[in-house]
Amino acid sequence: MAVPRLGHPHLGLGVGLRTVHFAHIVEHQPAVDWFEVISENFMDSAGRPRYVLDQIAERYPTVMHGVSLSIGSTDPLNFDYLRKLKRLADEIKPRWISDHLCWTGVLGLNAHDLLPIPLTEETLRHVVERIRTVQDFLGRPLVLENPSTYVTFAQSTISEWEFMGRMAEEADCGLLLDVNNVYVSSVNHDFDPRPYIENLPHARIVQCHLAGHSNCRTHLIDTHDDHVIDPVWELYRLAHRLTGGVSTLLEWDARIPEFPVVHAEVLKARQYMHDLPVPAASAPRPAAIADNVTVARAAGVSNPIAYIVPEVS
Amino acid sequence: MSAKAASLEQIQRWMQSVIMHPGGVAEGVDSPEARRHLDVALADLPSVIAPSRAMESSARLEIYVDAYYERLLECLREEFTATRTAVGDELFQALAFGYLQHYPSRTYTLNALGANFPIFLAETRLHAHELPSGAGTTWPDFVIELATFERLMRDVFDSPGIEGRAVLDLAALAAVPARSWGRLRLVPAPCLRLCRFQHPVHEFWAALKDGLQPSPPAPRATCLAIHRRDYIVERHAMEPLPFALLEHQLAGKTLSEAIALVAESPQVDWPALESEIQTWFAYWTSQGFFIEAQLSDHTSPE
Repeated sequence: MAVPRLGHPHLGLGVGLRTVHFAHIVEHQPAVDWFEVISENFMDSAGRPRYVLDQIAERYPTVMHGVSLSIGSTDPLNFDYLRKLKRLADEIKPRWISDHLCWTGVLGLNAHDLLPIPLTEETLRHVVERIRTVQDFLGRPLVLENPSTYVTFAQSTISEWEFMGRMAEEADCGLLLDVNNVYVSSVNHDFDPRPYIENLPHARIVQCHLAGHSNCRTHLIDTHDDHVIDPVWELYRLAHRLTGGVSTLLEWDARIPEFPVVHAEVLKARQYMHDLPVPAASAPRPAAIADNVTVARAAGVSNPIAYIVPEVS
Repeated sequence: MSAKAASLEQIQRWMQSVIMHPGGVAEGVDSPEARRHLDVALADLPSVIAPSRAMESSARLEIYVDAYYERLLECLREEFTATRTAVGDELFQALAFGYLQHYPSRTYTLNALGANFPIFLAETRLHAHELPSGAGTTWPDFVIELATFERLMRDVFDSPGIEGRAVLDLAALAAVPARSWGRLRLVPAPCLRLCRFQHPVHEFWAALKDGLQPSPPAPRATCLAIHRRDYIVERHAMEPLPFALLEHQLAGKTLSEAIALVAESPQVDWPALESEIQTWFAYWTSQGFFIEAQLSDHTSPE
């Protein structure tokens, strides 16, 4: 049974920290195991967001989760960004730092999206080299997440799970397994999500993500705006069994409900920490129409959206 | 070169130029910029982007195009809520869409996305032919100022502030011997911003915040200090004279230099000014406008 997780602890069931919940968390100090914070929202903050983060980091274990590292980009690494990332980590002392296997822009621009990479030997070499550079700079291993994607490249020669696995082994980094993203991509790209999870190097999985998504009939979009659907929970059950249990976090980024609702959602994970047989009727299937969420909410925007609204008198 | 043999760099530059193209996938793929990176016709798109069982290549790529603009437009709508209300959703959408094309994001944080929006509005003057009917001649200036005001509020919200640190209080100021007052150089709080507007944008903004539906205000010279205490952004409307005095001090002038500059104004009633200065300083220190008083041995450079 896989457990090493790069030596990181199993933090339990956590929630992604969002500004709408700041007041509730500070006032009520809910019994949440840990929080994940969006790094970019706090790297430059000298105002209330940072003040709240400091209080939360003092009380709870935290993890820094970034959206702009752009590890797959062919632009040079942004060392100004990395310096700020390292400084924040030195100050709030997260258990680990994560980002995504993606690129966010080239030619100095930032699309603020988690863009997909062609899965080729060239890309793998490129990404592995950059991960090593970043890890040397940060002085700690990176943890990289599989993003939801909406296109695949004709020139790709490697499956995503093989790419993730080889990347993790060759760069000696950790993996953040977003179970919802596996499901979303499996529907969008017509593959079976179970072999994806079964074939990852489980001892390198440091953390799991859970989230809701939107069903647009022909495809799914990773909107983080709803409850986790049953097929994703079943994939989580599989991931839990194969990893031996890892820190698990729920992301909710749009149409965000009250904090107790978000917290209760991640606590549902307890029901899936037992290796029960999966009945055929509820087994995950790679078909958008099989999804049990309300179909086609008006044009959801995929994540990330990481913008903080100022507070004024 | 065939798409199959394209390098990672080519693929990324091509994809970005398509995603950021305002005309959508078809126009984006056919644009000179995209074809400079990867010369692929729309009909040959499957040679780069594989179709899925349910979707053609172009429809799949369109998801990223839609998300790019919608995500960033949503951020701009949130940051410039008052400006959006002032111009209406339709014009705001057009302006923000144009802004994203002229000033695509170059930073890692969405918090900086709107930094140049007021500049863009000033550069384009909101395309005067698109002004709503009945809008006055100064309406574009009002909108530009309102956007500037909203951006300043954003800036002050997350900049270094005075929370948790000592500020200059009136007692400390009073302890400075009277003969040394002229050499006083006051260090402003890092979150204090001063701005002059031709319209009372803060009143329009406050009315919206109160749930009212204000009309665009008539021009009226407005001096504002924007500041933050206890992590809350505050606005202080000021009279021109104390505002000018404060401006000079923020520019690094000593008190005597600042007073001398203000006294050049023909409107100054000198005896009244002397007594008012004490009142102003009492208010400013009570609000935490300064963090320190230094005694200068030198005259400020012009």
